Amino acid sequence: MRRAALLGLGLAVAPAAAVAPAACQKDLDAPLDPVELDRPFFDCRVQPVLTRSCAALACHGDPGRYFKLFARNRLRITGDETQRNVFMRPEERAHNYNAARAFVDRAAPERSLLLTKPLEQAAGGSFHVGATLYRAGNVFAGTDDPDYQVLAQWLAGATEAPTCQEPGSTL
Amino acid sequence: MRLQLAAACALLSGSPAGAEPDGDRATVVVRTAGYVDDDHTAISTSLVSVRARPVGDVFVSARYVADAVSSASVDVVTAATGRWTELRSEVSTGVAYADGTTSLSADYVFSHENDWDSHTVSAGGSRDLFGHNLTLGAGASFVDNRVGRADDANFHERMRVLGGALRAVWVAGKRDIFQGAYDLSRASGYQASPYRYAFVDDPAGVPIAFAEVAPEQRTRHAVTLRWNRHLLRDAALRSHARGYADDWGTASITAGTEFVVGLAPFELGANVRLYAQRHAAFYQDVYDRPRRYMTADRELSTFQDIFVGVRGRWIGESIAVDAALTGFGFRFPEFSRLPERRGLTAALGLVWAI
Repeated sequence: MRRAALLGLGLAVAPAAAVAPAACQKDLDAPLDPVELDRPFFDCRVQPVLTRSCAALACHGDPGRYFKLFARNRLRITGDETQRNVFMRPEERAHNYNAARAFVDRAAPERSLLLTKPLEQAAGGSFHVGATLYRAGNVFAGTDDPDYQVLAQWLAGATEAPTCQEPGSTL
Repeated sequence: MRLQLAAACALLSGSPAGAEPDGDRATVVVRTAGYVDDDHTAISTSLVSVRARPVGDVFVSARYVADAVSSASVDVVTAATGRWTELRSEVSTGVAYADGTTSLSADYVFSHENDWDSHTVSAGGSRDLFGHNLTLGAGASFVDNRVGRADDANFHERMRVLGGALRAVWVAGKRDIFQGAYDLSRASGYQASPYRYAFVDDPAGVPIAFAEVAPEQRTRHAVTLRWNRHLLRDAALRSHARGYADDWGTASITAGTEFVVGLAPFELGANVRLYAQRHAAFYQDVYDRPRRYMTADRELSTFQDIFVGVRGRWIGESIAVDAALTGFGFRFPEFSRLPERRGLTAALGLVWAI
């Protein structure tokens, strides 16, 4: 009986010992610097597009979404209903900037989810639940949409002066 | 939607160990099973398979499996998505030669889901030595997966897996049979999920979502040992242990045993299986900062699970009927969205020898 128990213990331990030396790939958890994209261009030109086309409370203004956006009179980071319409706070703008950069494919910017999700599939876009919610199609029918062009310019490295104040940028 | 239910599916579609009725020419298996867990997932599986011996020592086989899946798992559900359902189909065919000392086999499997197509070819062989007291075998397989995304016409990825295996079975005496196996596989291509997003801490206190990025290469090693010990008049203890490691840093151990007793014409069994895994090197529940590779796959986290089941089988002259019930529990201490998962599988099968 004792021999059988020892044999069983040996059989249980041996497989783990046999595979233990397997080598791991290097740098699997290496940190990745965020994509460097112009912050003034985002605040001045991109944020108004996101506010207008993406941040509705039924869409990416819903805190249950992976891609969450803060916007004036929509999802706010703090405060009660009376403060929903105050100007966007710096931390809200910073979050939106980081959330948008997280949806950028640094190797192939034109394939970034930030561009393909709101674009009709017939024009090269990705599946987007938002395109099905109201049966009204996706946000951008084609790549010639001016708002799509704003996002594409940002990903292509466009810059703005820090003083840029596009009308509506505080919305 | 490819679910990570390999263990459960094996329970559902696998043929319980034990004697089959002896068919002169063909054996037909029909099996149905159900799976339900507290992650809002239910699966119904139906299987039909035929194995025949058209000439001499040559066998041919064919199998069809259909999985109907309904899920609202935390893996994919957000405020924008709800419960989804889909049908997964798999057809396979094979040819084998077995003359009592040497066996050769070749198989092809095609699997289709709405976002995943898979072609598998495999071949293997074995030979008995030393008066059938030792069997040595080897096999190889190649899988070509075409990965898509539901309702997305522009998402196309590939993932290929090349595998090999070495096996040995040793009849050590009247009461003991030992088996050893080494499996090696190399996967290349897209190995993330287009449905999952990893979270990174943000100074604003609201985590940022990143699309999953996984390494494109993965090499896996597994060593399995089995020990079947005959007990009493007609009973057996079937035990196994498995060690696994890959070059993503994942490592696991599995140990299980089943007590089977024959009470002709019945066969009854009870089994337990324990599993413990160490996470992949790049896994974090919520990442402290963006990383080269990021995943929200709980199957890459540290976790443990336990499966406990009972089964029974009635074996007639040309028909056998089997039933199995298994309960399971998973503990995911590093996956805050679903720290635990519990569920049940039940299966009913009919084997008919013609």
